[in-house]
Amino acid sequence: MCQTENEIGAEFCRLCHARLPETPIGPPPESEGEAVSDAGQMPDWLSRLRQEVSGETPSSPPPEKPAADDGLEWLGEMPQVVGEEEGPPPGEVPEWVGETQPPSGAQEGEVPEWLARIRAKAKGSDAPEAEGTVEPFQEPEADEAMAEESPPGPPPPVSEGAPVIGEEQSDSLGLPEWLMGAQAQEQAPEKPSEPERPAWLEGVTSDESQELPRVPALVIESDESGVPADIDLSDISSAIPDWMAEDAPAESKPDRPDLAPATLPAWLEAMRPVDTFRSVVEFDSTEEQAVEAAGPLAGLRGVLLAEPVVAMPRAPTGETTRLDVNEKQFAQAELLHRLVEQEKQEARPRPAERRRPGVLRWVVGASLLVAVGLPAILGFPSFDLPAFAPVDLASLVGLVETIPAESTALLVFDYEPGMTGEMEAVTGPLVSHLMERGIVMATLSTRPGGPALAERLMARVGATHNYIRGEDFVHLGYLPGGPAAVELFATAPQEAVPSGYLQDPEAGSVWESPVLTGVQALSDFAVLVVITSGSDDARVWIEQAQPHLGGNPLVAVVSAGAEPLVRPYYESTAPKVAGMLSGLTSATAYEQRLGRPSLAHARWSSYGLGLLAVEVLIVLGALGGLTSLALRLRR
Amino acid sequence: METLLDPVLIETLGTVLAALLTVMVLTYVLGDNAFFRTATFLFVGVAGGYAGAVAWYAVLQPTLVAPVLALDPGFLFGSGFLTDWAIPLFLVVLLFLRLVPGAGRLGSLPVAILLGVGAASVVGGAITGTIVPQTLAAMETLNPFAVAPATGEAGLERLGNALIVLVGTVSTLAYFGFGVKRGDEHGPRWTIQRVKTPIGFVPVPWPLFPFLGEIFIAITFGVMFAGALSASLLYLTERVQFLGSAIQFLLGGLGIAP
Repeated sequence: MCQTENEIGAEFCRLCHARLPETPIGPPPESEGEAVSDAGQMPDWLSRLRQEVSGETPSSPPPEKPAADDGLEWLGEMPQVVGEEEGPPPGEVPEWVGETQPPSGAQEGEVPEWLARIRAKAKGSDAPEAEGTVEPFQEPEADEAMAEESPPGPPPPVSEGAPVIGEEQSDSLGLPEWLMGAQAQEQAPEKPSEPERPAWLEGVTSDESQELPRVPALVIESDESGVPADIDLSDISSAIPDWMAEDAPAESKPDRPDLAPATLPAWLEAMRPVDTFRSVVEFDSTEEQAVEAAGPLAGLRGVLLAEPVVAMPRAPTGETTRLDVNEKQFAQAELLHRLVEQEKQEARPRPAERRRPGVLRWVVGASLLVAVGLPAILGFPSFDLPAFAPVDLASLVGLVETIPAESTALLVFDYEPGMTGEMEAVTGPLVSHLMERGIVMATLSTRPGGPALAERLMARVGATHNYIRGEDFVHLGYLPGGPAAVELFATAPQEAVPSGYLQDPEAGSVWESPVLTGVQALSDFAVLVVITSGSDDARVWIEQAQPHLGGNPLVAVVSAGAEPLVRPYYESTAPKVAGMLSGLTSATAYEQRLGRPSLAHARWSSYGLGLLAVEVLIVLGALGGLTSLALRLRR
Repeated sequence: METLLDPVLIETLGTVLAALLTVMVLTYVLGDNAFFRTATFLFVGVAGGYAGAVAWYAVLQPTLVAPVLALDPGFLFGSGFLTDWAIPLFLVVLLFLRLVPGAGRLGSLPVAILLGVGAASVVGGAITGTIVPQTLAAMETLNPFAVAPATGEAGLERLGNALIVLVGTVSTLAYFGFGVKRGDEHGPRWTIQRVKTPIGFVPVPWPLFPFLGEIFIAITFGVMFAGALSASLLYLTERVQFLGSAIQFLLGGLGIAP
C-alpha cells in the first residue's frame, strides 16, 4: 500500500492501484463487481438498527460464519462480549441513533470538511495524471471495465520473452544493484503506456498537501459470501524478506475474479520476487496468544499489542530533543552551573577579619602594665626577697667553686634579642660568679645576633669585675651550620670558628688570644655554659658537645618556659647536665648568695607584683567561667 | 674608621628610638594597628639585614675572599686550597644555580649534602645522647637504692619519685595509643564506669591508664605554660623598666629632673 488518501468508496488506490478496503458506509453496490455488501461487514444489531431507521430492506442475507477450514478459526474463538453484539431490542432505536441523520445516497455532501479538502486536492492532481503517463484514478465503473478486459486472477507470470526494463530506465529510478539483479531475472508486464517516471513519484510531486495519509496496514477482504478471503500479500511482497518468502504456500493466492490484473504498478511488479514469496502473517495458536489485560479490548485474546509499536526504534524528532523544564528546574540547573563555574575559579585567601579587641583584653593589659610599672618606676610596693634558695642553686654554686682559677670557660649565647629581659637577669649572677673566680671566658653563638648579645652582657657584668675584652674574655663569634656545626666545633673548634667577633685584625686570630692559650679541643674548656631560651638548642649542645667535654661539666641556663624539658637531663641518674639555673627566683637567690644585687633584684618587685596580678586574673577568670557555666546549667 | 657622630648623641637617639619602638609594640593591647605592624616590619627587616651582614663578615669574607686576596702562596698552592676554598666555592656556585631556570637541578647537590649531613648529625646525636642514656636512666630510677647525683634523693623519697615517673611514663604512652578504637571513633578515650568493690560500686574512670596519662599531660602543659608566662612577664618588666629609665634619661638631658 502506498498509503495515499483515496476517495470514499474507491475500490483501488489511485496511485498504486492496490485494492482498497471497503468502507462500511457508502453507496450501495451498483454492480456485481462490487460484491462486498455493507451488511456483510456490519454487526447484526447495527444492520437491524439501520433497517429500522432508514426503512431499507436488507440487500444481502446475513453473513454466514466462516467455515472451519478457512484458516480463521481463531476469529470465531474470540471471546464474545456479552451485550455488545446484541444491541437494543427490536423496535427500539437508541437515542444517539435517532439524533443522527439517516444515511442517504449522496455521500459527497456528508463527508467532513477535511475529507472534502483532501478530495478536492486529489481531484486537482488527477487531471494532469490522466493526461500524463500515470494511470488515472479508476472509478468503480472504470474498474469494472478494466476487470472485463483484464483476465481475472493474479498478474501474469513473468516469461523470458517479455520485455525487460532497460538499464537506462532502471537507472533513472535510482535503484540499488540488488534490485537491478532482481529486475534482470524478472520480466515486467508489457505496458505500452509505460511512463518515464514512476507513477508514485508523479503523484507525490503533484500533491501539495502536507497531511499524512492514513491507510490500514492490513486489508482483509471478504468475498461475496461474507467469508473473509485469504490475505493477498502480493502487493507488499517487495517488502517481505527472503526468509519469509521461502515458506509461502503456493496456493495462497487463489483466483480472484474481482481483482483487476493491474493492481500493481509496473515498476513494483517488476521487482516482485515471485520465487521467494512466503506469507508474512503467521498466527499463533489460541493458547499462545496473549490476552489483553487493559483498555477497551480487555479480555480479548490475540489482539495486536501496542507495545512493539511504541517501543519500536525510530528516528528522533526535533521535539524529543527539546527539554520541557519548569522554572524551578531551570533555577536548579543555573545553580549547578554556577557551582561548577566556581570550582574552576582559583580560591583566593580571604583576608583575616580584623576584630576590635574586647574590653576584657584592655582590662587585662592595663592591669599588667600597672602591676609591672608601679614598682619599676615609682619603687613601690616592694616584695621581700626569696627566703629559700632552690635546691639546684647549691649544686651549681658548688660546681663553680670547683672550677680551677685561670681556667677557661666557654659560654654559648643561644637566644634571640627579645629574650634578653629574662636571660640577662638569670645569666648575670653566674657570669659574675665566674669572674669572681678569675675564670677567663670565651663566648660563642649559633645565631647571628648571639655575639652582640654576648658582648652586651659581658660588657655590663665585666665592668664591675674589670674584665677587658681580648684579655679576660673573647668572642668566638657566629657558628653557622646548626647541629652539624656544633658537632664540628666539638671535634675541631679552631676549624669551625676561624675568626672571632670584634677581634682586632692586627692582633691575629682569635685562637692566638691569651684567653684561649692552650685550648685545642672542647675538653680544654673547664666548663661549658649553654645559655638558651629554648629546649631544642639545649638538647643539641647536650647531644653533640657533652660527649666531647672529657668529663668537664655542662651547665644549662635556660628560660623558665624550657626548664621542664631540660630538667630530665639534669635529674637523671646519669646526668648530662651538671648544673642548672632557671628562673628569676634562682637568679635573685644567686645574687643574694654572691652579695651583688643586680638585674634580678631590680626586677624582683615588678616581677612579683606582675605575678600576683596574673594570679588574680586567673582566679577571676575561673570564677567567671564557673559562674557562666552554672547559669547555663540553671537555664 | 673613626665614628663621626657624637657617642652621646648616638646613645640618645638609640634610646629614643628604642623607647618609641617599644611603645609602638605595646599598642597591640589596643588591637592590631599600623604602629604595631610598622614596628614588626622594621624588626624583621633589621634582623634580616643584620644576619646578612654577619654572614658576610663572619663567614664569606674571611673564608672565601680574604684567603684569595691575601695571595698567600702557602694557601694557594697548599692542600687546604682545594678542600677549604675550591670545593666550598663550587658548592656555593651550584647553590646559586637554583635561581637559574633550567639549571636548578644542579643546585640539588649542595642541598643534599646539607640535609644529609645535618640529618646524620641530629639522628646520631639523638641516639647516643638522648634515647639510649635517658632510657637507661629511666630504668635506673626504679632501683630504690640508686641515688640521683644532682638532687641527692634516696630512700622512700627516691622510691616515691620513681613510682611517679613510672606511672606517668606508662600512662602517657597509654594515652597516645595509636590503635583502632572500638565503638565511636571520636568518642572519649575513657569513660566513668561503676566498678564493684568490697565497699560497693565505685565510679572509676576506665580504662584507667589513659585517664592518668591525660592528667599527667595536663600537668606538664600547665607547668610549661607557667614557665612561659613567667618569662613573658620578665620581658614586660624589662621593657617597662627601660621605658622608665629612658624617660628619666631624657628628662635629665633636658634639665628636668624628676
